[in-house]
Formats: sequence, structure tokens, C-alpha cells
Amino acid sequence: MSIAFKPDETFRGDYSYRNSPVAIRRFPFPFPQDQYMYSVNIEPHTKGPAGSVFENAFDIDEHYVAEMRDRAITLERDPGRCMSLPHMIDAEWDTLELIMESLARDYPDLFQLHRDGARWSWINRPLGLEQTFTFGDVATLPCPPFEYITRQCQGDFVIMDQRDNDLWADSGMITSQADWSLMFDVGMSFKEWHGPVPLAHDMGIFERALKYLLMLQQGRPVRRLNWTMTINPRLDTSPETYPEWGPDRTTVTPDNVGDKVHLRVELQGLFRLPRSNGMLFSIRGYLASLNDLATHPRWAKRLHRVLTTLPNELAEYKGLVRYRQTAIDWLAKFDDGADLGTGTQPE
Amino acid sequence: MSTPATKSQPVYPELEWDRTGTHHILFVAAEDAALARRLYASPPAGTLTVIHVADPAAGETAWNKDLPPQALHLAAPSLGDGLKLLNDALYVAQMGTRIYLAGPEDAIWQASQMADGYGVGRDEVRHAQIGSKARPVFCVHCRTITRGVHTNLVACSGCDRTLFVRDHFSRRLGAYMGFQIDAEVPGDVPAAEVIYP
Amino acid sequence: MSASMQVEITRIRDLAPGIREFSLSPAGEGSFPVYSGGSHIVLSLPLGARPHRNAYSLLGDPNERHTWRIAVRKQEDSRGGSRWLHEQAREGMKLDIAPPMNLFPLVRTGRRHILVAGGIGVTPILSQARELARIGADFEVHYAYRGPEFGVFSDELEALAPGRVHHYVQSRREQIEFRSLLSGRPLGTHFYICGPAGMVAASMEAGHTLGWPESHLHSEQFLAPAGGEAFDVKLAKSDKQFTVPSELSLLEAIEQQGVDAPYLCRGGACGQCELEVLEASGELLHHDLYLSAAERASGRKIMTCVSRLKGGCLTLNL
Repeated sequence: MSIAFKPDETFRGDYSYRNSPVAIRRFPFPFPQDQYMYSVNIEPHTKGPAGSVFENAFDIDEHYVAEMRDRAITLERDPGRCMSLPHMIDAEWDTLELIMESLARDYPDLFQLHRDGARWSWINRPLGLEQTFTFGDVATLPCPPFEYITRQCQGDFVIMDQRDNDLWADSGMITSQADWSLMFDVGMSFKEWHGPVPLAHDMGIFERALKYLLMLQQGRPVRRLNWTMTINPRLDTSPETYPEWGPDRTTVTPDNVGDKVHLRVELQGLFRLPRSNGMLFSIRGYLASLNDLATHPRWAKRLHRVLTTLPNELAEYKGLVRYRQTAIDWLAKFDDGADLGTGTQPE
Repeated sequence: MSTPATKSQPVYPELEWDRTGTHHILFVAAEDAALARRLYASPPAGTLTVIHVADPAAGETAWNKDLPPQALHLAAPSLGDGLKLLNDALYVAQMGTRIYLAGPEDAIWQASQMADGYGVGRDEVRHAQIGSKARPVFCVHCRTITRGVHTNLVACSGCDRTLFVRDHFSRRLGAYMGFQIDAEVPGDVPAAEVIYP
Repeated sequence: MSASMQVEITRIRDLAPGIREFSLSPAGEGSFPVYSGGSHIVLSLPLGARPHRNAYSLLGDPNERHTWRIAVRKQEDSRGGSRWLHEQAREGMKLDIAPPMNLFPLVRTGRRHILVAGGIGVTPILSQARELARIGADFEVHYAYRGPEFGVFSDELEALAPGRVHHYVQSRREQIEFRSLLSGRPLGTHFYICGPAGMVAASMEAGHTLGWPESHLHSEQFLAPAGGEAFDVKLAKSDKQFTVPSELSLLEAIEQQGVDAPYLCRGGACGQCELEVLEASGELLHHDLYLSAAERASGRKIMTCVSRLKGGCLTLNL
């Protein structure tokens, strides 16, 4: 497989990020039904169809090089976007091993890993990196292992420590989040961390999800999709930088809504980590503008219905209130009211 | 006591002695005569250390009179002194100790962070909010904690932005989250209301 | 339910009367994953036609990828698992196992750790001690066994924690005094025990008396599936009706019917095999360590790996 990277596209300033038709087609559209509500929508993270975002454990796509550069910019401005509590060092190495093994196995022309006992050599061709290091010896890497590997893998990452029948968000690399702060949330229990999410607590969603995840087994990762919306193809929509991107929400007009408003889908993976008994939570984000989605009319119809029926608490929480109606009005022209059946397929 | 909508927001059940403990440390940073009388009326078995933050000019208060016979009362003229005494007590404390933290949130969560540093589990610490309901607020933009916040909007003591005080609470930071209220439409700042008296 | 992997028995060592150690290697290509201290695997043993799965703690180095070790004590009242391993198992034989699972993990935020092993309960303590030694944690080990010849892992423990292993030999009337062991410990200490039920209960009682909170007391006991009286079962969704004979567990009997039922530890600890009870014309005998008192009292749930019905018929939502 070969991927045509777009190394020069940007996620800030002139926002030159664009999806190719192939990227749009593989977009993980999250709505199987006309109405959206929370559910414990967890399924095994098994190998999906070739070319799909589910094909590999960690999906690498045409935006890889540009996303990694955007992460480096964010970290340069604010090193606090990567944090790890001291007891997490084994889980950091677990994460490095899992990601290196997966990328080298799934993308052998892009990444290579050679292991000679504890002596490891890593080659990252797209970013032009080569590193020989001793597994388990932090001093042999340019930065701690979790930061090192997550600077080279698309998506945000949290590592949870398992103790007292709970999962604690004790490490994170968070530079492309849907408005939550790692600096504030690090060290929280599973329910505290999800504290601000409306409705789901009372539905018992987190209770059931936690019980399930506590028993997650090695080698049997699971996944789910989550979503929100973002104005402009911006990765760094953090609370920290809210004054930078918040005003964009007021700029949506009937003329630019197709370009500006993006559906942002998170492919979330959960992996039991072997030596720490911790859990890696990968949050791989995908952005598609309404124009992108409208190239597949079934998706435009579905999104129109989901936005129309979305409970106000969720619209408020996801920050859609200022532009929801503009988006609904724009999408209406695609929706002939035909029965779409269930499923997320584009046609 | 109602359940908060935001699950990270602490709930404070009525403070009771945990009689499964064999040693007890009570850290108090506000006056509450009814609570003091109730706790002191039926003390738990085992040792009891009371660390009492109070202005020395206050003289006799409910926390330093009618102490249970086994109690050791340590007076601290300031919160900083009280936290030092607490640190000393935790340093020599042993398994079986229960820790009770009563006072405004700013004080009890600073004390709680200190206990966390000793590897204490959540089932060994009880918190009670007494005295002022003022909140410590962490500015997510400049990372300064503004203390003693009574209103839903407050000027950050670090960057002077007008922060909205959320119910989202971090035990590690001992503070609620604050973010710029007029980020989307600069200057669009409603009037502040006192809601944490 | 669990993805299985095939292993070969590469070495059998008799460590003491009734105690055997088995070394396992991946059958064919490949290597093992690493695991965390306190983990166990579930072995599928070929005892005739019916499935027979037993959980055993991994006792070796969690970072060793070519050989895993377990130790098995021959249980006199065994329904066949440990007896098969002692009498029938041979080097070169292949077995299916479920990958490692940890129901007895170390608490990494702990500041000090006290490990206690009773007899064959030393197996998870060994991998925990290795992990603590590797990360340079503050820990000590207390190891109790019947007679001098049964302290089979003393040397390995000494190497991991020189001067911090304390031995208690029952035949010399040495016994762990849990009250004094657990007294005066600094805040942030965690206690871990694996051993016979009576010993675990005594330690927990001492801990509670001294005011230790639950979050610092950790124990592991695997329950052998209790045999018992035969009883009848109806599976509502699969539309099956059969009798659970006295020598099979409820889970094993369900599996024998070809019905896929959930499970993981098969020792009453993990909670995965919970099924909904639709009707029970008899007393539910809960032998698990998982259900709360309220859940037991509700009569709506049963852990199929170890629990049974006394007389009558049990209808399950499966």
C-alpha cells in the first residue's frame, strides 16, 4: 500500500486541509439511524475491510505528516498537552511497543521495527526518523516513551491505570481534542473524567462501559465511534485555546456553511496493556466538511435528520447551538425524506 | 443532598466518624458549632488528632472546647500552618488512620492533595464543606488558581480574562474549571451573580 | 469466548511431593506476550470428551517471551484437572490456553507492598515480586508452607528480595501473626495475599480489626468448581433442557450442550459468566466471590462457573 501524503496542508491559519475523494469515501460516518442517542456502542476492534479506517489497529492516512506537524506546533506552544503521572512509566513502554509493533506490521513500507533483545531500532519513513534505543531505558530516547511514540501516531491518546475497580486517566497526549483539557482532567476517575457529558450518566452508560472495560483482555481490543462538529478543519479545539477558535462559531453563514462546518468523528480504540495492566485509549479523529459529506447524498440526508432531532442538551454540550440551524437549512435541500434504512454506508 | 449534573463535582455527605478506623485525624478550617458538638459527642475508638485552623484572636470555639478525652488539639493560626501540621501528622500516621477534612473547598482540597501524596485511598478520607462556599477556580488558559470565588463569573488573578466557573472539578488541582466567558463574542459578558456565598 | 493459543509442555519438574512445575512454550512459531505481575492463564485439559478448564497463575518472569511457568499442587478431592496434570501430562504434549488475565494486580500508586504466600499460593506472589523488584519498589515477602521440603520457591524469592523474605514453616509450628504483621504500617502500604481460604480469611480479619481499608487489602483465591448434587436446567433462549450431573459445573454442563456461554476466570472471581436467572425452584448455592449480598438476595443472577442449584430446576436467560 502506498499513501500520498499531503505534507503541506494546515489545520490553522489558512486551513488548507482538504480530503481526497478516497478519504471522504472511507470517512467513518457515525449515524446508522435518523436519530442519535448515546449507547454503549462498543464492538471488537477486529481487522476491517481493506482500505477502511477499521483495517488496522492504528489508522494512518493522507493527513499523517501534516497532523504530526500540527501536533508538534501545539506542543511547542504548550508542553502541558502531554502529561504522564510517575507510576505510568511501564504503561508508557507498553504503549510504545503496541504502536511500534502495529505500525511496522500494518504499514511495512512506512515503518520498520527491528528488535534484538532490548536493543530496538525504529524507522519512520514519512517523518524521516531513525532511532536506536534500549527498551525500558528512558535515557536512550530523545523524550519519554509515551511522548516519543505519540508524536508519531495520528490521534490523541490517554492511558488509564486500573485500580480500585476504576480506570484513572493518568497519562495523555491531547492536541486535537473536542474541547476537554488534559491538564485539568489528568488523574481523574472514569466517571469524573466524563463528568461534564450530559444525559449519559443517568442512562447508566458510563457505569456499564466501565464494568465492561475493567474486564478487557489482552489482544482483544474494542472500539466505538463518537462525534461532534468543528468550525474550520482545526485539530486544536482545546479549552486552553478557546479564545482562538471560539469566535469561528459566529462566522457561519448560509454561504460558507458547507465549507466551514465539519463533522468530526472520533474512532476510539481501547487496548489492554500487557506489562502494566493499564489501558490505552486511542482517539483517532476524522474531519469532513458538509461539502465533503454531501458528495454522498445518503450521508447528507442522514446528518440533516440527526441534527434536526438532536436533544438540546447534546447540542449545547457539543457547542453546536450557534450554527445548528444554518447547517440544518443547508442540508435540507439534500433530504427528500426517503427511508434510508439502517447503516452508515455512503450509498 | 441532590446529585450534581456534573459527576466530577464533589458531593459532601454529612460528616460521620468512620468507626472501622483505629486512628483519626480531623482537620478543620472553619467554624461549625453544631458539627463540632455532634462529632465530639460520640467520638470513635482510638487516637484522635484535631488540627484546627483558626485566628488565635477567636479564642474559645466549638472545635477547641468539650474535646473528647483522647483528643489531641493542635491549633494553627493560618491555613499554611495547618497544612504543615497535617503533613507532620500524616508522616507518622499508620494504616488504619481515617482522615476528616472540614472547611471551605479551597482548604479541604489542599489538605486532600497532601493526603494523596502519602498514597492514601479514597476510602480513607472524608470531606465536609463548612464555612464559606467560595470556590477555587483554575484558569484553563493561564493555569492560575483564583481563590475565594463567590460568583459565577470572575476575573482571573493571572490573566484578567473573565472566567465562567464550571461545575467540573479536579481533585488533583483542588479547583473548578474556569474558561473565558466571552471567547466566542468578545465583550459579551453578562452580569456576575453571587452563587457560592 | 476467549481467544485461545496453543502451547507445548516443554518441561515437567517435581518440586516436592504433590507439587509439579510445568514449563510451557508457544506451539510452533511465535513468542508469548508479556504480562503483569499476578496474572493467570486458563488451561484446557483433555479429560475425555468434556471441556475441563483450570486457572493457574504465571510464576515466572513477566518479560520472558519463550517460556511460561506454572506450578500445580495435586488436589486430593480434584475432579481431575490437577490429577491429570500430575498423572497424565507429559513433556511434548500440546494444550490450549486462554491468554493472561490479571485479577490480582499490584497497585502502582502504592508506596510499600507486603506480599504473603501460603503454600502453592506463592505462584502469583512470585510474578508480583519480580515486577516490584524490577521497578525498584519497597516490598517484603512472607512465605508460609507445610514443611521445609515445601518451600519450593524460597531461592527464587531470596534472589528477588534479598533479606526481605520471611519464612514460616508449619511443621516447626511457625505461623504468620497477621495482627503484628499489619500493625504500625505507614500510610500508603498495600497488602496482597494468596493462599488457603482460612489463611486469607485470617489476614483479612486482622486487617479489618486494625482499620485497614478495603482498597489496601488484596487477595486472590481461585475456587475449584464445587461439585454437588445434580439439578435440572432449562435454557430459555437456546431452548434446551438437561441435567447438571454432580461432577460437572453448571458452566461445563452448558458447554457440553454446545451452547456458547460467557466465561473468563472459571474461578468465581471475574464476574464474566454472570447469567440471568428467570426461575429457580430450589435454593441458589452461590459459591462465587463476585456477586454482592444484595445481588445474591435478589435471586436474579448466578455465576455459572462455580455456583449451583440445590434440587429442583433452574431456568436461565441464555
